[in-house]
Amino acid sequence: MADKHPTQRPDPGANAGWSALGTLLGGVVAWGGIGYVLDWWLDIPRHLGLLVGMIVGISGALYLVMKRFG
Amino acid sequence: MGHQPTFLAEGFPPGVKDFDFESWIPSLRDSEWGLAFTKITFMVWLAVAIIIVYFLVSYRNPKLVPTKKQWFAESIYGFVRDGVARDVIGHEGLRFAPYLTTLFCFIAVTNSFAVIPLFQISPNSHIAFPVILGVISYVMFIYLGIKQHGAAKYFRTNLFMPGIPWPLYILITPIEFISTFLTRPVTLAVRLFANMFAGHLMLLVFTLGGVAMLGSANIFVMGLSVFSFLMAIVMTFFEVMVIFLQAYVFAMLTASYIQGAIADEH
Repeated sequence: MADKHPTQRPDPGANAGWSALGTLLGGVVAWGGIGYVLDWWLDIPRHLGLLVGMIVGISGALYLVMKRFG
Repeated sequence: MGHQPTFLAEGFPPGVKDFDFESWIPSLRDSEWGLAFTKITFMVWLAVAIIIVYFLVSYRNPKLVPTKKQWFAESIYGFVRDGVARDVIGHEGLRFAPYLTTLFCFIAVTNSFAVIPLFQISPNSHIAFPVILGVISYVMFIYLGIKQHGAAKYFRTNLFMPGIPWPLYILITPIEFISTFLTRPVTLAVRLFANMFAGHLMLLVFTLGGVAMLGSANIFVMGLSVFSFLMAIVMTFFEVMVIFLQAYVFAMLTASYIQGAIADEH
């Protein structure tokens, strides 16, 4: 039973899945958003800021997921 | 094809007029409250009334050996208390069991209107209701986290994950902020809304499509409408599953956010 370890309890699988998905989405949205704002502010052509931002964001999010659940 | 299909019953293709319930109470007509009384609000009040009356009636005279009604009410509560509150939050989760049960029952009953004849739409396919439910859960887990740890410590542990080199905080902290404090309420609300809205559209597409095919002049197309109606029946059963699954997922995710907020971080 779960309440045998009241302090340190592993997340049930579904929980971990949902929060990992949230983190990945958060990464893309956060840094993609920053990139998009930079595009608009500095007139960067071809949405390069958005592109680079999304790649940076997904790598950051992957790192975070690996740190937290790995 | 090409011509308007002839519909079988008057008022058959449902439309906006079916949401107008103000004619039920004549004095409401043309007053500003008339617009507030629609099919959707009626269903929400009905759901609340059903839940309150059902639990009051089944607990009015509790027996040691429960009657069927009492047994069913107890097993709903027991399912949420043991399966959601205690399994996800842990022992101190028991004090959230009443809230989680209320949430589960409200979503399950309002969702059920999606497949009950004459209602056939869930209030949760209107984004306003999932948004309010999501906001309640959102405010609740942030409040609990701040109460448990104090504002400074709560936001520090959530935004600055311990044990990683400091330059990475520049990269990580915006992600943590977005995923903990922005996408959580949005995904809670949108998941429920989109599931119920899509389910409603699926049922409509197959039922109305079947009727349109039946009205066709081409005998082959007319015969094919059988498959459309069959699909509508299959999707209705699928919808029943989605109804309870979404109620469970909403309660479970709320519990998991509460658990994250009140847990001692390492």
